[in-house]
Amino acid sequence: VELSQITENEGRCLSVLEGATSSAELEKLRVQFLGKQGELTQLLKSVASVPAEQRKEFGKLANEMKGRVEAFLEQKKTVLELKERSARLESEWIDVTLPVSAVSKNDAPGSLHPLTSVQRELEQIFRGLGFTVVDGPEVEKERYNFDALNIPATHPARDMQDTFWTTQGDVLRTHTSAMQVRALERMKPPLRIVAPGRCFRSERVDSSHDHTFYQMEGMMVDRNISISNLLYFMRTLLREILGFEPKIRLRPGYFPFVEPGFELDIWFKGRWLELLPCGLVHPKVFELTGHDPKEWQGFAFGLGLSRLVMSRYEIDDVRHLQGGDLRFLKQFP
Amino acid sequence: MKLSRHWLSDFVDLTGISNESLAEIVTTRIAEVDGVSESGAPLSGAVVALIKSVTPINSKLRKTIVFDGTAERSVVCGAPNARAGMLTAYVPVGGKIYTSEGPAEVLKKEVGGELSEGILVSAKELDLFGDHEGILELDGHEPGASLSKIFQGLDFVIEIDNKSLTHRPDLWSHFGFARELAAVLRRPLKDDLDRFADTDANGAGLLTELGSGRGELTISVQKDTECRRFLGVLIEGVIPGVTPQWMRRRLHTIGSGQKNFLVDLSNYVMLDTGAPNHVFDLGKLRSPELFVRAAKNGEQLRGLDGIDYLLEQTDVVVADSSGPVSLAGILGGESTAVSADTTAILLEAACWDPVRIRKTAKKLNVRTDAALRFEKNQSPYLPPLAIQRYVQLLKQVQPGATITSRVADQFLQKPEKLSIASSFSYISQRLGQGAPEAIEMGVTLTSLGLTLNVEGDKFVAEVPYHRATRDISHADDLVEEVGRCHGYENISEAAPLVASVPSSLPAQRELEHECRDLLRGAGFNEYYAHSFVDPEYSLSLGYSMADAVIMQNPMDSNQGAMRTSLIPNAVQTLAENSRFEGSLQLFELGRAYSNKEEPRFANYKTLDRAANTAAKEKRLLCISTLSAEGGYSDLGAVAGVEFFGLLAVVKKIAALRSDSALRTEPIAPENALAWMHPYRAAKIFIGELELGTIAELAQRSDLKGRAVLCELEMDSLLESSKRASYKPVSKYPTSFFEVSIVCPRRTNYSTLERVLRESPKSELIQGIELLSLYEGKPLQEGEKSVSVRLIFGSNERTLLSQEIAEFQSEVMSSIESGGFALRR
Repeated sequence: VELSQITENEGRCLSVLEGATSSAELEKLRVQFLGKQGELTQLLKSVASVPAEQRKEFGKLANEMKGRVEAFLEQKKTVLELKERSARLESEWIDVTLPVSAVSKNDAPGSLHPLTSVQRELEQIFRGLGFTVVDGPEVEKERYNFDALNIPATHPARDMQDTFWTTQGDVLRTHTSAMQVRALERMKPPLRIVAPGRCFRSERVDSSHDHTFYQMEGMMVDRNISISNLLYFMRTLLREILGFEPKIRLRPGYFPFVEPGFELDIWFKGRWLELLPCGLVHPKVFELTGHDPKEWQGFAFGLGLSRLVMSRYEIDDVRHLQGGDLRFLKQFP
Repeated sequence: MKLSRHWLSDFVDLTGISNESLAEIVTTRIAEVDGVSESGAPLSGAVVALIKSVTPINSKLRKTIVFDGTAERSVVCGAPNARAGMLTAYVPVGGKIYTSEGPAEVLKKEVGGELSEGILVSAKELDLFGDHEGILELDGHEPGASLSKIFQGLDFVIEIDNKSLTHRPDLWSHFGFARELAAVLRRPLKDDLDRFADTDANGAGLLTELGSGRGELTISVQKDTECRRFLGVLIEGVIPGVTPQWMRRRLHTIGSGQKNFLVDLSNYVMLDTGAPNHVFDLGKLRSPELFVRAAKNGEQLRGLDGIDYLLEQTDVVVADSSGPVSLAGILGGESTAVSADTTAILLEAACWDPVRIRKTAKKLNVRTDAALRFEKNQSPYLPPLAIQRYVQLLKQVQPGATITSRVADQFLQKPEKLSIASSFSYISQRLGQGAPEAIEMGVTLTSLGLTLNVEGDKFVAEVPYHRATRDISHADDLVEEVGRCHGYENISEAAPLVASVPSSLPAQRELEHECRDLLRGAGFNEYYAHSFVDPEYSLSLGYSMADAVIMQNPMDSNQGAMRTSLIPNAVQTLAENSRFEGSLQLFELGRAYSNKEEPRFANYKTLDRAANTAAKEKRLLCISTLSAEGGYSDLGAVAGVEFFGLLAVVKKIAALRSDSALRTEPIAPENALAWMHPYRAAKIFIGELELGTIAELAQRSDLKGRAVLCELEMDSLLESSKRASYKPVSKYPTSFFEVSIVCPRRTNYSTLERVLRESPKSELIQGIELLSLYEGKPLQEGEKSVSVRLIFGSNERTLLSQEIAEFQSEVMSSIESGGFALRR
């Protein structure tokens, strides 16, 4: 065995390895050269037949050579595996732009009604301001919808609202203001409530009127409540809803259950828009629900939820809100 | 109601206030402005001209020479009433007129071959009043006099939202608004008509001076009519004739129709003072004797509008000895109306009970200007204003008119003087930061006509007659008076000093939110349906409407009842949307209503379910799906996959509030509602609590595929409770035991499960899984095999192999003693 065989073997081995085109082929070559019966292994084993004075050097060189071949093999293996992996991945190409519904059955995103979302948002704002959310009946006793709100049977204000009556002589509530009375009857002041819900008026239905609509009543009762306090809450509320500092004004408005009563206008696109009615709770309402108006005062307001939804999403026809048309509903995911 | 700026200016000086600020003052201080407009031509350059000569050009046109005060002009004119010597209106070249197409400039042009320097115009062309009745007659004016002087030029009209005047009977007139503006602007009233109200003399003083004739006029008022006051006076020597042009223009400006002078004047006086009044043709009355009484049942009256009204005892009439001559406070009668030959009149002004007026007007559907005012609750001190003003203006126009009787005055309900005790500090507290000083409040209240008796901070305010009927009766009403006159823009915001308390969301609402989020996440779309339902339709789906809430005045017969279930709406919504999509997933959270006391329609207990409700309302969740038939499950092809798809969603919803297992019980075909597939319908329970129903929709021609609907009671779900509790995970091994049970095809799985769970060693069962269903050979026709896996073990120790064998044999013998066979 000659020393020169080491270099020869290395050269041949590296060039064969270099030519491998797959990791499987490379593995075969590894066995061929470095396996138990491998050519290089055999070469290393042949150290015994090397003359003693050359044996040490032969052994050193042969081991160094083996190390280099192994390193080369490792490197080659990494390269080939990487290549093979990317080829496999490429073969697994899919068309990611296929319509989902054609491939998967469970693709529908679902949607919430815009009234739901807006009502929820408002409830959250009011809860942040310390208001409790309450619900009440939609079929109402006259007392709650009218009498206890200082609207006796003979009051011309009853003409202001076209009321649905049941054959039992009850009404479908014409406003969520009925909840002012229920709250004052059932809860102990001080109190802060909001009462969202469905209301009814027998109006001819067209693109801007429906006989069913949503309102949100709010009321705060405490000691020494003033118009300043009402303004504070209204501005805070509107700032939260609108996301900017609104310019608002109060002007006289007439509602039998508040005194003074206001219309709150907001400056929008260069003009005043009537936004929500409000006022200080009428002392008569306190008296009719068993509270002393000298001790308690409060303010109340009514938000038109349907109107708010319409303007927020620029919906052109109020009939969509209760129309059940998915082509409309799915626009509110 | 419309207001004319010119008219308001009769009573209060509006100099220096632009139209825009006037509208702004009205809206921020007094009442809601619905809109503003201008009325009348600018009239600049228009003058009175004397027609010197008229020469016909052809059959229609004539050439006139007119003198406009400075020069003679040649003007072509088509008006038939143009004649030499006539004074008329002349608009020179460059002036403005109104045509049917809008404002137009007068041009110098040739008409009928003659050059026309300007035009002679009608009242209509100047938007002053009336119809095209030829060119304007301007007798009594000098040629060259400016028309803008005579007619005050362009007028500004403010339309008030009547609703905002519901509580203000004093604001239904120009004088009323002028009185208010005077107070707000702190300007004096130029002409204070309140002097006629004569409140101190109780109506006797000025009226006595007014009428002194020998004519006899008797008025008798029956008490039960609730008439508050009735005034009448006889006037002779009147001419119905033509109404003065200035008055015609004003009536035109605010959109009032015109008849003859005596009637126009009556109308004008109402718009001027706010007091409705009526003129009878004295010659057409049986005698100068009026009776205010309740109508007799069946009595008839033909109104001025030509309509015959059938009256009842609750209506009030003014009658002469032959019968009703007017519907009190609402409408005059036709038989005694002023006509061209009227020479003497009976002028009447009264004050009526607002409720009576409102009821009759509503019942007979006559909403006249008079009724509109009376139903707002007018003061009995107001009618004298109408009498005084009518006489005053009548005499101005027709000096020959003479009053021939005393003013008959039946004053039945004299109001008490109304005083309110309050304090400046109270008003200040209610207004908040930025409230005016006490002295300022005092001035405001005084300018509004209140008389103040001040003692330090406290005061007693006497309410003037025109505000004393309902409007001002509490200290809080004074807060409003001070606040609005001061201007709410001067009140600044302030957070109240109150305890900070956490607010709560009702459990019900929280559950609703969770259900909605869950369903949206599962691909369902939320809709809101109406609360009304067509009773017929509801019945056709199998819902009894016996206890339904029925509408007295539905919009439409197909909205005649309140829904008793959300299912009918859901079926419609599915059907309507199926035209566009074959696969639907929908839900609604809403209410159903009933008159019936039943646990399902629970009586509300808390505030949001307060007692003392009218109907019973329950909150329901209705979920529905529509999908193409067929589909695969873990069990392979199985019938009713659509049904179980929806049930899986229900299971998730139930799990929001309950840790009890969801189970279903079949509804027997004979108990299934009409809409239900009789063999695919079930009641849903969690534990022992009934949660709702689920069923496939019985086949319909308008729906392709399978529709499944369920309706769940939110209140039931809320009643069930869920409490997360930890149990240590068993350290001991579990064993499995698989058996196949052979049973008749329609055996419910729940029956088999019960048999297994009731076996003697069932305490070891930790779970039962359905593995497969099989029908066919070698089973007999009408049989099926149900394979299940029982998972069993103990939480305390490892079972011995003997115990395992015992368990298995107990299970097998239970199956056999339950009447089923084991498939070996």
